[in-house]
Amino acid sequence: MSILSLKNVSYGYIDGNKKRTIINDLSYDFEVGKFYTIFGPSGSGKTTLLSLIGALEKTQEGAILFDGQSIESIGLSKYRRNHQSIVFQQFNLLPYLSALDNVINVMNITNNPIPKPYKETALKLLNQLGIVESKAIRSIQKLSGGEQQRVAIARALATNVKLILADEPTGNLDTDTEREIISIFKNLAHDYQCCVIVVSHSQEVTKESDVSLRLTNGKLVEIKGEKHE
Amino acid sequence: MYFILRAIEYIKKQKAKTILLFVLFFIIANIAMAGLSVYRASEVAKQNIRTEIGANVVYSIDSVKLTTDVKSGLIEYETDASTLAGVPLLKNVQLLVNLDYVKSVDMILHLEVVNELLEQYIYIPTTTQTGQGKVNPTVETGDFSLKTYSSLIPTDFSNNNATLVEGRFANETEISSASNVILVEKTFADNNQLKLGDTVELTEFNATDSSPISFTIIGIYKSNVVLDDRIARTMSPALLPQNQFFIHFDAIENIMSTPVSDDTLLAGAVFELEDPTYISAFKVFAAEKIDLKYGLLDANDALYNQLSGPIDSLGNLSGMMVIIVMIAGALILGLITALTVNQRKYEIGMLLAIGESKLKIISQFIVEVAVIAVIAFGLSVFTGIQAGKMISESVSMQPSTAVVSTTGTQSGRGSSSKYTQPVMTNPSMNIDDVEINIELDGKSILLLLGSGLLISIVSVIIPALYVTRYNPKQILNNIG
Ligand SMILES: Nc1ncnc2c1ncn2[C@@H]1O[C@H](COP(=O)(O)OP(=O)(O)OP(=O)(O)O)[C@@H](O)[C@H]1O
Ligand SMILES: [Mg+2]
Repeated sequence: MSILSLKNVSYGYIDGNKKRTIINDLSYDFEVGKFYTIFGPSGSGKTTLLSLIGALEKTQEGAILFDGQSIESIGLSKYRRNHQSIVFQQFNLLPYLSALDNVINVMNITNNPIPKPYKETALKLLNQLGIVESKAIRSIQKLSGGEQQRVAIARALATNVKLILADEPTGNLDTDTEREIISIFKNLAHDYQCCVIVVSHSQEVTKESDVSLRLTNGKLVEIKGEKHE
Repeated sequence: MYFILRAIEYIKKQKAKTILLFVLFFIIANIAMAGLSVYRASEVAKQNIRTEIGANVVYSIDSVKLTTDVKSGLIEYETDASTLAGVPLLKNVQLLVNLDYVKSVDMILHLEVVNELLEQYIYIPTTTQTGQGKVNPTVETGDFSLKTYSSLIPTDFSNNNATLVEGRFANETEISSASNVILVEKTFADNNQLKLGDTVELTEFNATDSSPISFTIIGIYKSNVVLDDRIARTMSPALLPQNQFFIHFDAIENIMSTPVSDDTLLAGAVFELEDPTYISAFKVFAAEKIDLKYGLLDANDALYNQLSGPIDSLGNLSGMMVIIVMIAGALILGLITALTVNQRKYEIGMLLAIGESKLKIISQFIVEVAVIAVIAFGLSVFTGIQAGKMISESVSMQPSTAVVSTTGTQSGRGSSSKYTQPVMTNPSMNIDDVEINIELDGKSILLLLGSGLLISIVSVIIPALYVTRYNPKQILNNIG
């Protein structure tokens, strides 16, 4: 069953005095257990689409349903807090908190049940993503880009949500690190029954995904992957 | 409540900003605290002056206005003063006694009396001046004067113009039976070999069918009034303190030929109020009751103004200082927050993206500022009062002698004693007695710090609200 349904979603920006439509009457169903990638030329609206799915802004037309309920009726802030996690290319973490505290922070913000004590759960999660305790208590600025991205993913997982979104998460990383991150996403989809949607230009990422979507003319087109019944 | 932890971590990591804010708060709080302590001290000092000058309001004829109006021909020289509006007639005094705040009244009447057998005190000039200042020989006056009192202690005694050295004032039985009991001055008593229990025979001066009345001496007093040489030379000898006798108001009819009535003109009345702070209210009420055209209500205002003037300007200055520094502080803080909130845009966007509520994000910013403010304000309580002490010490108070002499003789020459000032100004009061004590009570400290904190919070909330009204995409977009 689909965890996330986009129903005739449209979105555009006002440019001067005319409106430019970026997302145009887009409908698509995302399912749990699958790793989706979205690609498309620069400026095609990938980040815009992900922002709509992540409720960073409101749709102008149409609706986004989470588990059959429109996210606006759930409440955008509550939806962001409890049902999705988003990983950006950069600017994911609070610079004045340690890696560990960044993870504990979202555990405090979400309403989802998290096993206590938070510190222990967070350290375990960070450890699984290759961040040992000595690094976890360091200030964020003292971690490498790859390490920071792992912390961002750990933070995204910390709230136990089913929907994981990422906007070019490997854009700044070398290929080895990229490969590791991709396998983490794949794992989440297949072993933890999450719905993982990653925007990426990278062939590496697209290759590994279950469903690959191309954003053109404001619509999503399946390039690779089985049509669901 | 994790936002509090975030705030603490932020304060710890952003050391430069924390120190800047701390220094800002500390300086502002110190200036404000110093200003407030000086302001408070000046208020207290003014109150002390009032208390020391006393809660007495003297109601008398406005002799200055009377003289001007006579000179300019507005009223006739021969006009009977008791027909003028607003003068202290008995009925007017009684109207004012009924006003709020009045504790007691001392009704003062002068009556000139004679007794050929008694020796009059003669003033010996301390300097030799010829020609000038001789008593006008064409006007005849009595040898002595009676001065009445209606309060338990005559005002002249309560304000230290005179001190009782022997005996007492009239007691209740003597007052209710209008007994002829009298207080005389020590020099007079010594010169005439009089002692307590002796009697003096007095006759009203210039009355048609008057006979001597005998008074029993119940008290002997000493006058503390030091008269200015020139005034003493020119004033009627009967009015010299040494030639003055005190009798109770109710006994005056025993010797006075004209009966006391509502229209009797008093030399004055001294209203003692419940508290010195009621003086201005009392004056307002009194002016509503009586048209004080030729009447004057004076609470020793000239002396009060002279003493409180410099303190007043110090107080106003420091009050202004507090307000200016608070406004400047709010503006600086608002600016700092506006600038840093702009730097922290992406942090706000990120917090919103992970579902943090706007309220908690703003609360975090408030806690960040409040923690620093509370520490800085707390320290400034000690240093600010110290600074206040230094300020008030450096603003030197000119120790000038401010004895205002209104020693009751403006109209002494040639006119009836009825026009003289009823009581003399407390002669011992001068500015050396005025002390400024820098002390702040807990209430005003709390008020100052509370409003400081409130201003800080508001100047944080405004720029923060400005940013959080955006949705997270807009914020993140602008940076990415
Ligand atoms: N706030 C905005 N106001 C006006 N136009 C905008 C705004 N944000 C984005 N756009 C425009 O919308 C279009 C889609 O932008 P978006 O960031 O979604 O593209 P993208 O597919 O993510 O591109 P990239 O691959 O470069 O990240 C672009 O042409 C962009 O200029
Ligand atoms: Mg993009």
